[in-house]
Amino acid sequence: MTEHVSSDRLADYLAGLLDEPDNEELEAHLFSCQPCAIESERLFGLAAAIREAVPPVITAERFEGLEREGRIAEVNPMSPGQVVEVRFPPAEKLLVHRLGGSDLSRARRVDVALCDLEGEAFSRLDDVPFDAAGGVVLLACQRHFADLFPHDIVFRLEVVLGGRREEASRYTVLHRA
Amino acid sequence: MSQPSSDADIARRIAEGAADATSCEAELCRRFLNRARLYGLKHLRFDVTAAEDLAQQVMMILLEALRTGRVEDLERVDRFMLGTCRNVAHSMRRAEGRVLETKRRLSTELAGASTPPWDLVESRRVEECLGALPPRESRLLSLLFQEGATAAEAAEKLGTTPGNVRVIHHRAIARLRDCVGT
Repeated sequence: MTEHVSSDRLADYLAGLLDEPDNEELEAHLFSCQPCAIESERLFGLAAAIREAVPPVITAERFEGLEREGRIAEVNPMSPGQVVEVRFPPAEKLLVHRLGGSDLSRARRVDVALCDLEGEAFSRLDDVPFDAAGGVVLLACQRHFADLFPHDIVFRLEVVLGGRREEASRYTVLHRA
Repeated sequence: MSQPSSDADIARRIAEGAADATSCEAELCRRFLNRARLYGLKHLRFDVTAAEDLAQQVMMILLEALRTGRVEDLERVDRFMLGTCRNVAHSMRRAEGRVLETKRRLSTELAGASTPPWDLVESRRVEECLGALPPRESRLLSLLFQEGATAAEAAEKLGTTPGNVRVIHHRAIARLRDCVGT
């Protein structure tokens, strides 16, 4: 391959979207082309950072890992219908809302609708990890969310059963700076 | 131990290529391998991996020397063994010294020669920018990079086609680079 690597192609390679022959061709090119190697470094760095980034809803395993790393400032255990006032976590730390007590045992998929206090959804997190047996969803709240989202939020858990979507529960969190 | 033969008898049978030479080799290993390991531990700073490495090298040398008649005094195969342990440990320590020296030199020379790719991008900033992406785009990045989903799997999760997954992916990466400034 003599042609330089486009950033879209490099992104596909990093995301694992290329076939094996294409992977090999691209790697051979990166090893033989200094400008492409240098050009691609930042995208590799970005991929590494995406890999490590904490998503808004985390699995129990990720929770344990983050706890070991000392990134969790506080856990806010909540039951359905509850209204809780919390402070945003310090920079680089996480406040984990442990949304428990929901019946997720039959759910094939769980979505979280982020709603204002009137119940109007302004954003959605679809197909999130959840603990079916324990009925728990773990939301990792980060300091910079303060700049991205309204501070008073109703988290509405929706379960998808077969083709139907049903509301499972609501949790109201009033974030204070 | 029920083995009646002496170390020398066993060594001789191996050297002569006796019918039971193979089982004698096994017996010799059984007797000497741990002696070599002990020597290795003591002389290679109790580095378990190095001691095991030494013991295996020494056994190979000993068996090969016996088979090819290079052990002159079969009565004192133990001395040959100890001498071999000394030589191997000595060369391993020298090699280790060389490796350490090279490592030291390289770390000084290479420090600052180039920044590793993972230090080029501030991971907290990436986390912030991921949060600011449209949910569908950040979800796709997490599917691809964190959950190892294929284009087909990601397409099913997002309710779209694999071709469209690529389009969304490219858009998400471009937006993310723009936000992170990389």
